[in-house]
Amino acid sequence: MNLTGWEAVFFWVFAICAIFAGLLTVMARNAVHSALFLISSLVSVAALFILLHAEFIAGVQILVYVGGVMVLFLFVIMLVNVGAEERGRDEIFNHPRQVGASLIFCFLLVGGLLFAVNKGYQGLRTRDEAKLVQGAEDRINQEKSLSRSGTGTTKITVDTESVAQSLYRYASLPFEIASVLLLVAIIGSVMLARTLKQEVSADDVAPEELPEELRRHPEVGKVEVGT
Amino acid sequence: MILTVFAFVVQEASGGVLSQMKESAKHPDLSKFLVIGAILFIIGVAGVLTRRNIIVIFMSIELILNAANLNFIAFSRYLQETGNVNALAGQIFAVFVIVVAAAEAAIGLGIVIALYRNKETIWVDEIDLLKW
Amino acid sequence: MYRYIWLVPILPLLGATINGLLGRKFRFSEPLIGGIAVGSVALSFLISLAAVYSYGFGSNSVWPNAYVTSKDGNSFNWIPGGAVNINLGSEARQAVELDKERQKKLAAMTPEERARPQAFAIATFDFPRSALLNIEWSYQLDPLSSIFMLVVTGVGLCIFVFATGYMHGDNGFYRFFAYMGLFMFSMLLLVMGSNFVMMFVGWEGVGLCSYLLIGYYFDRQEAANASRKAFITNRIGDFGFALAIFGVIATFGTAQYTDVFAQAKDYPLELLGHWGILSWIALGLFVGACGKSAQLPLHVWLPDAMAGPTPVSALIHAATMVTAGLYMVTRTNVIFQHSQTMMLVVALVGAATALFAATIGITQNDIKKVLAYSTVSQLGFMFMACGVGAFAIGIFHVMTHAFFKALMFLGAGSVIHGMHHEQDMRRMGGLKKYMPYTYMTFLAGWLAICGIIPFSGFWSKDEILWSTASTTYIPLGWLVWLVGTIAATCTAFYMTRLMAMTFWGKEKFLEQPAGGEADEAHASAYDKGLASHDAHLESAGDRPRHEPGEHVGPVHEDITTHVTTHGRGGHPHGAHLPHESPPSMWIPLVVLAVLATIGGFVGISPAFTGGKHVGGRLNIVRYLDPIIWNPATRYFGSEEMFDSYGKRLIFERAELTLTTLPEGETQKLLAGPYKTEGFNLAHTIESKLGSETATEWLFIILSLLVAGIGIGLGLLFYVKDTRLPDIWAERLRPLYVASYHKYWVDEFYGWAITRRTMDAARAVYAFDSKVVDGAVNGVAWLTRGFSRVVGGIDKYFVDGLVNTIAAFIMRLMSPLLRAAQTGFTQNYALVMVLGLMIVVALFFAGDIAGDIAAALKNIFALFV
Repeated sequence: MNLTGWEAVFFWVFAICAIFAGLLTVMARNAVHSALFLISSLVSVAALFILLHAEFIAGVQILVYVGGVMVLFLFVIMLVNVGAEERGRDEIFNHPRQVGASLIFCFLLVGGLLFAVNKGYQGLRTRDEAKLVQGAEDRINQEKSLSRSGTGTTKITVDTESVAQSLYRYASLPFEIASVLLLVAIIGSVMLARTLKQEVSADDVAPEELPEELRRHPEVGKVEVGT
Repeated sequence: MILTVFAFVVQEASGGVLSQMKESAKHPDLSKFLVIGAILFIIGVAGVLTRRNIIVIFMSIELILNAANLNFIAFSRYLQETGNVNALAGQIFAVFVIVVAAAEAAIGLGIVIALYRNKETIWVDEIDLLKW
Repeated sequence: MYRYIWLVPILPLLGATINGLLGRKFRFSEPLIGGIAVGSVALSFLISLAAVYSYGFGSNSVWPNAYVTSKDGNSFNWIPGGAVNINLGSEARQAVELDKERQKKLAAMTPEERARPQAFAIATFDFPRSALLNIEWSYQLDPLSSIFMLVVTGVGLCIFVFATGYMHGDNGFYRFFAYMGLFMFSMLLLVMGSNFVMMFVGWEGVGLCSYLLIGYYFDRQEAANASRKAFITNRIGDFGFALAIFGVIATFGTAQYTDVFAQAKDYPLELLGHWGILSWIALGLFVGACGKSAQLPLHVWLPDAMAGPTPVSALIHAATMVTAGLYMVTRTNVIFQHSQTMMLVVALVGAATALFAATIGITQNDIKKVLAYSTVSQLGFMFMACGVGAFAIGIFHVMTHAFFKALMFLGAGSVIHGMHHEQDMRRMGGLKKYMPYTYMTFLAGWLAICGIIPFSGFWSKDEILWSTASTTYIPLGWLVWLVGTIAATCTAFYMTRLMAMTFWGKEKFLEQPAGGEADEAHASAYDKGLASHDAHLESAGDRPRHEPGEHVGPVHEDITTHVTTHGRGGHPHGAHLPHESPPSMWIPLVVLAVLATIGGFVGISPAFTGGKHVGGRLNIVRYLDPIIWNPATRYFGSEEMFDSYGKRLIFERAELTLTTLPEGETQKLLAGPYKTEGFNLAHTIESKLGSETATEWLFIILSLLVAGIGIGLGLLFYVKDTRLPDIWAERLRPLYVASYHKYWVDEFYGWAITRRTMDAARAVYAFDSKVVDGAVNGVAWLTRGFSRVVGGIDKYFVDGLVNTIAAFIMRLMSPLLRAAQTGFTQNYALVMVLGLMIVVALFFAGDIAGDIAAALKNIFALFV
């Protein structure tokens, strides 16, 4: 799956961008900056996906990950993080001991991972030499047979189609389960984020804790009726 | 370190590993993607372990998941190339990873909000109730 | 009629049960209780009279055979047994078998063959035998039991009638007659039982009733002690008796009299010096007899038994219970006659007892005590008779003794009653004017016991003395005769003394202050502040509670005013003057006096009747013949037995012996199977005088003489010159003191036996409480100590170890482990990453190491 020519260039651009953005994510002082850097990292990775002929996944990444999850992150940052800067210069990193140990571990890990990747790839390539060549040729032939788009400049790939074919045929059960999982996540997040007042009005406080809570937060007891 | 540099120099003298690298750079293949994924993964891990802000930790976790996604997709492409019938499983799995990441982010942030309401803090080192 | 003898024991039992169970509950009146009791005994007496008549003298009489009720089915299988091993006396049995063989062979030979010297097989193989032991409940009517039946019920009837008068006013009237009825039942069982076990049941029953009746006044300490003493002493005898019964069963395989004696008669004799199985059995039986009949050394209970009411003393300790030993010895005379050693023992013990008790009786002051020792002495006489082989005479003396001793006891009871429960003879005197009936009847008894012709006592006592002098059964017959004669002298002496002190002479009760219950009532009334006539004691006692001379209550200077001014109130003191008893009391006395006078003629001495016992079956010796074993002919009954028609009865064996053996042998057999050599008094005198009758007359005159001497001395000492007793008591002071203190036998027993037993009990108790309990407690202490030690080890060593280790680890690890719990989530995440690293390392360590090694090698290669 060699990428050649402009694909290689774009690969390197987006790769460096992703890594850089990721690095800045963990190093940014401001949480919002952190979120934005993460968004850029995600978008870079989506571009890498496109380079890997996984357009659908790239789209899903942008829409769901960036458009949903990161927005949620930003909302929560607004809710939670607002007073952090006003309180002064707080440390953003942990105790040096922890940071030092983590860095050592990470360096060792990255060394090991890189080594493993290289080693594995070598073995993989030696094994799949012929297939790779064959695959590349097939790809080229396949690309030739692709239909052109409406404008005539690009070809319409069949990647998304084959993903759909696989997803809805062989992975339909996981698909449904995933939807149930999302449902559970919705309910869970709603429940987790309720205030005490909301819980009392929904009658979801344990009876033995209610008096305690009412004593501590008397305003909870005042339930507005009507309006 | 010095030994590594020295070894590198020596190897360079003995056949040009740098030129090899230049060549391979012109044709990035699976290994490059995997390396990128690994590096992203490590960055995410470092962020989880190092940052004090709980939201940033969550974002680092998203980075980790993303790196894993990259890995999946890269392999999916590679397997397509090598003619494996289950090649698309990588992409499908990536879909599910994204789904799970989204759900997990939602729940996790809900917890963060509840935690913030109780503890009034977002610094994880202040949340040490399990300390002896 | 004799088939109804099974009714005889049941009727008194019935009366006793009704009186005992219902008498108090339904508050029977005294006449009712007395009526039931007397009526039952009277019925028994009548039935036994009829039975004995029809047995021995009627047209269908079965005399001389014994009648057992099982013949008519009036019996039941009481103790169904199993097989018993007959493993005792096998040598004797072997000899019996041999002898039978020999006789069979002899009978089969012609006279010429018999004359030749014989040789027979030596030994037969005696294998262990077994028999089926069944003990049945049936009654036996034979000459011996018939005499006893009549005596027990007849004399018992008189005593019951007397007791209704004597016990009048006592709160326990019903109880008294219940016990008495129970006693009659047991005694009748004893004499009528057809096997040893029934006799033993009756034996124990009379012992029990004796205990109950002696201790009738149970609130008095002395009565309780006496009853206990009687029972325990009896029990010692019972032990021997029980062993003898076991021996009988193990030797003969049965307990029925008929079967046992049929087997025993063939056993070889065990002469002096040879001690075989029959001697053992006889020993056990005699020990039982000693206990029951108060012979030396088990005589101690009889005098103390006088603490019971006087009718009890009369019935039990004069007429019936104490004669049970005699009954038993005579019943088993087969066994006794087989053992010459035991015969000698019986005779000597009897003689010793006779003399011993007689000498004690001389010095006693309580009227009942004198009579008690007299009883012991007369029982000694009876055993003397049995010991020298004159069993029938012994039984004859039992009969006559029952008559006159019961008479005298009842008379004494009458005296005591008339003297308001005064028993000390020193306070009596001159009672013949106040109590004439009592006096006349007592006179008859006195003459009988002294042995004055023609009263009953003379006949029996004389025959006894003659038998002892002329016996061929044991050596030392002369010694027995001598001792008996001296005892007879003493008997006459102390009985005369009793008569003199009680009935003749001056009225000593007028001179001395009264003692006894009258004064007791006065004393208690004085204490309570009551008028003396309101005093009434719940339990009437027979014994004075105060010592002679001790006066309780206000002293009256003038005794005559005391005498004349008192006399009102519930208990008619009668001004303390003795009064005659009511008819219910003196009528039985009269009956017994008549019997004591004429009752001896059934045993009239052959010296008076021409050398033979006349009267056929009416002569007691003839009557009892079928049960007495003859060692010469080895069969029951003497050779000269005649039936009522005068026809001579010869039994098979006797005929065989007399007609088939060679001349010399027969003579040797008849001469004396015991081969007693040595001095025989009667034979010596006979050889001097020339005829047996003359010798007999000599002995008769001798016994009359000694009786006369005794009476004369008594009159001299107590009527003529009343200072003499004290003078002679001083002169013979050691003898007097010994006799007065009853030779200190009770004290000796107390020291040697009672206190030693209690010491042993204390020792055992000490052993138990110190050693056994100590061991147990010691084990407990050890266990506790051990548990403490173990606990200490556990607490200090083990727990210490654990605690030390735990503390050490805790001190070591706690900070370390605590440090791990930082509560800081990222620390935990760091650990997770560390784990990841380890996994990666595990996978790739080899390769990484290889790569580094290769690189290093390259570097080295480059340099090198």
